[in-house]
Amino acid sequence: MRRAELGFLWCCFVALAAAPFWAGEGIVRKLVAFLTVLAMVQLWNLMAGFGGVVSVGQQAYVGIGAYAMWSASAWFGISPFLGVLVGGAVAGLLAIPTSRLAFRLKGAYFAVGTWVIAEVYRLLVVNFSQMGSGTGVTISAAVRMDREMRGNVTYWLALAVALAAFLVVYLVLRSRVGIALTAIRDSDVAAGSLGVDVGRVKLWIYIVCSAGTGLAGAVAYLSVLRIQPDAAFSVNWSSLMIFLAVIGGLGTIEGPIIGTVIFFVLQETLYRYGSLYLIVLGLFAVIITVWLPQGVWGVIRGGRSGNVLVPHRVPPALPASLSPAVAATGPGASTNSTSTN
Amino acid sequence: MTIKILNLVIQGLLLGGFYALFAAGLSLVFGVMRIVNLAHGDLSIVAAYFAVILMDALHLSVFAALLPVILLLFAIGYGLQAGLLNRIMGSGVMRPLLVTFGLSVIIQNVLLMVFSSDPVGLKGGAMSTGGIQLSDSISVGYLPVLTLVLSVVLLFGLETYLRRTRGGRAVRATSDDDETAQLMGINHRQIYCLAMALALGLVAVAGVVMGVRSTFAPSLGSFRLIFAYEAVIIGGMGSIWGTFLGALALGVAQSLGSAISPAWALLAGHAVFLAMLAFRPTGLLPKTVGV
Amino acid sequence: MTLLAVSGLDVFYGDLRALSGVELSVAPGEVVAVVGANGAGKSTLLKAIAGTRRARAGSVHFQGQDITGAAAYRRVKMGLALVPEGRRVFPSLTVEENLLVGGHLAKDPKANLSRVYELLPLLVRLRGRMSASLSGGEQQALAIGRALMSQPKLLMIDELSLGLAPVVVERLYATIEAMKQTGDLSIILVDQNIARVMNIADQISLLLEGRVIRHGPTSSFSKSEIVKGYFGA
Repeated sequence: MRRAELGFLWCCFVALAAAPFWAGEGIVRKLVAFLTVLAMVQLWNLMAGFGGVVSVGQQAYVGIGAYAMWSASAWFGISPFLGVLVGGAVAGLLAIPTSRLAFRLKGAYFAVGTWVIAEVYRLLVVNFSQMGSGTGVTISAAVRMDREMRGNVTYWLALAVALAAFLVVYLVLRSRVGIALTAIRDSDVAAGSLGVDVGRVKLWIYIVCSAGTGLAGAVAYLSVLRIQPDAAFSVNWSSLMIFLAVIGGLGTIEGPIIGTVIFFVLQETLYRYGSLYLIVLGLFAVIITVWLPQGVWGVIRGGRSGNVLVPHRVPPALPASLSPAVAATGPGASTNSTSTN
Repeated sequence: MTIKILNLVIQGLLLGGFYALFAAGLSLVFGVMRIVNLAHGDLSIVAAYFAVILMDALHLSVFAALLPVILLLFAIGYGLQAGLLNRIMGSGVMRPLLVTFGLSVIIQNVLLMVFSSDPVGLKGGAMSTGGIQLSDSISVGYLPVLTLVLSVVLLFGLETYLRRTRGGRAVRATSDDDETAQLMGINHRQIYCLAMALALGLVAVAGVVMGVRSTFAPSLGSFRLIFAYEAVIIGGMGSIWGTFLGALALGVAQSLGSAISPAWALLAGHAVFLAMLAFRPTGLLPKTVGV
Repeated sequence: MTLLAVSGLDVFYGDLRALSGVELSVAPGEVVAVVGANGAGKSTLLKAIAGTRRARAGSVHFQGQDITGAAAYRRVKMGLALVPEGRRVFPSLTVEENLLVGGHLAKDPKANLSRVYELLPLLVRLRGRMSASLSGGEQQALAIGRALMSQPKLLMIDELSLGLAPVVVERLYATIEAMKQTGDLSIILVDQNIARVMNIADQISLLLEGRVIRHGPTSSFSKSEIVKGYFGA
């Protein structure tokens, strides 16, 4: 990264970190929503855009994160601020058994499977009277706090979660795993030939992203103070993650920022018309998927390849012994192996 | 007690017949194109609202409204595939998922704006309320029985079409290997359109039956998709009768769960699905032959 | 009068050039063998003629018509058929269903069916079997029969004897010989069996790294030249 770019990013960070001192309470609260959604979109983008793991069930971890934070506070007296960490940890832990089941499903079936599992989590909460059943719970410990302090700390937590999401994506993409992920996106077989355990990489990405989504969900609900199962486990969270990542540009680190900005602008301008903003986002997502799969950022960036924020590392060349075989059969060659002589 | 359980099982089997109408189309589309249409359930709600409009505006009976609704959904399926989905076929599983998910959200929210979230139903007359008393504590409604019969007849018709006709064989060949199917003179894109149209034709029947059985609202589409999906996975992904069996199993599980509470009805269904994933991921009747 | 005329054909896989400037012509009733090492572009050439691979440059003419941009399924109607590498029978269909799918566009598939059964009698007793359960040789016979169901004017066979027992190969070549004798079918053959290829082909095209380096009557080739061709030397 060049010096000027780094300087610009630092200025952005300082301005954001100081937001409670220059912005009003309403704006800070909006920024919390912005940053938490941004973190979720960024993590969904890491799973799908880089790893090819398409989940329609990440709302499970939004709800789990929020309820775990509440439980830590209500049952064990842990400060809701620390409870956010508990939310992330529980989300990550529950992602392990969840992935065991969901990863048995391949391709398109995986996506719906994650949705069903998110439904199961919602129903479990609804049936659990200690967690407020269907009517939900209030984060009383947070309600009792000093209002301004609560708002500011929640905001800094949101900023930290969003930055952590960026950092995770940045580090993952710069690592060996990042190269593996790019390989997965192109072809599982190619990744396998680079000596990468595709299944393990996908699993780890799924678990890390779910934990991060749990953190973001906990902070988001810390800001609104009241958690209801139908909202916290709503598939609309997935709609946002999916639409905003797709609109901004799948598989880019800048795309989620652009997508989230578009979302907030739309929401502000269309708030009078109910769910119209969702229809518009859906239309954008469909049109972009079919006709502009590189997304808005891809269009802005034009022909240049690679991420601006993540220096592009050249993946290792295919082993020489492999290249002629690829040339011989080509990517579209027969994969049918029905010969049984 | 035994009688009570027997009753629940019978009601569950009848419910399963209803779910099979949703699941068969999902299974067919996946079998041919390896995609899951996430707007599948929402389109059944579209079918039901279309029936509402026809019955209100033209004073049609629900039987008279059924045929135009089927034709409309058939056309929507063909158009959706030809105009949108065929552009992204063969590019992996992600783009069809994203597009159909987008459609699902769009359809649901447009329905919400047009029809509001107030539940509505379709008037089915005596058929929807009457029933047969089998014993003191077991009675079955005409409509659930008719639904089960209808779904067996339609699935049998679909199977016969796939097995016995030139078009059906072309569908199965495309399902096996679309590139080689082209070498036989088969326009695979047209086959995709046909499969989606057939699937949504079945969804139309399912949607209208749903409207007569109970009231419905725009948000119900997601549940229809999830039940259809669970039936397909429990059944074994890809054979018509496997999917039918999966739908029956799901219906029975939900019916037994409903004896505890409505939420348990859903949980019991999901539990069978998850248990299947954990212990028998190939499903009840794994695909061996055909679509 | 040529049946098939390929000229200046370029085909790419992504950035990888698989064929460059390929010329090929086939006369009615002629058997042309395409010979070359693995990766020389033989399969790609057949796919480009059949239409499952797009050409980036050049043209394909069939019976005087430009079919360069035509979809694969339209080319079948015009009289082109390909037996793809690896047979690619439809595994969930029975033998007879495979054949009937081959006759998807035929006006009278039943008549074609009896002709194919006459030419490949071993398929008769297999007709009700699932094609996935056949041996490699039986699958190859089925794949050929399936291609013939559309009554093609030009039949292309990719890797006829790959992975098959010698006795099976012998029978398949006898069938090809019989088809050749009828005189109304042209064949493009890709196979590694040098002796049999030289025995049956009228013309040979030698492919090296995506280019035709020599084309001529079989008699103008020496066996060692063909052997070298297979090794890409």
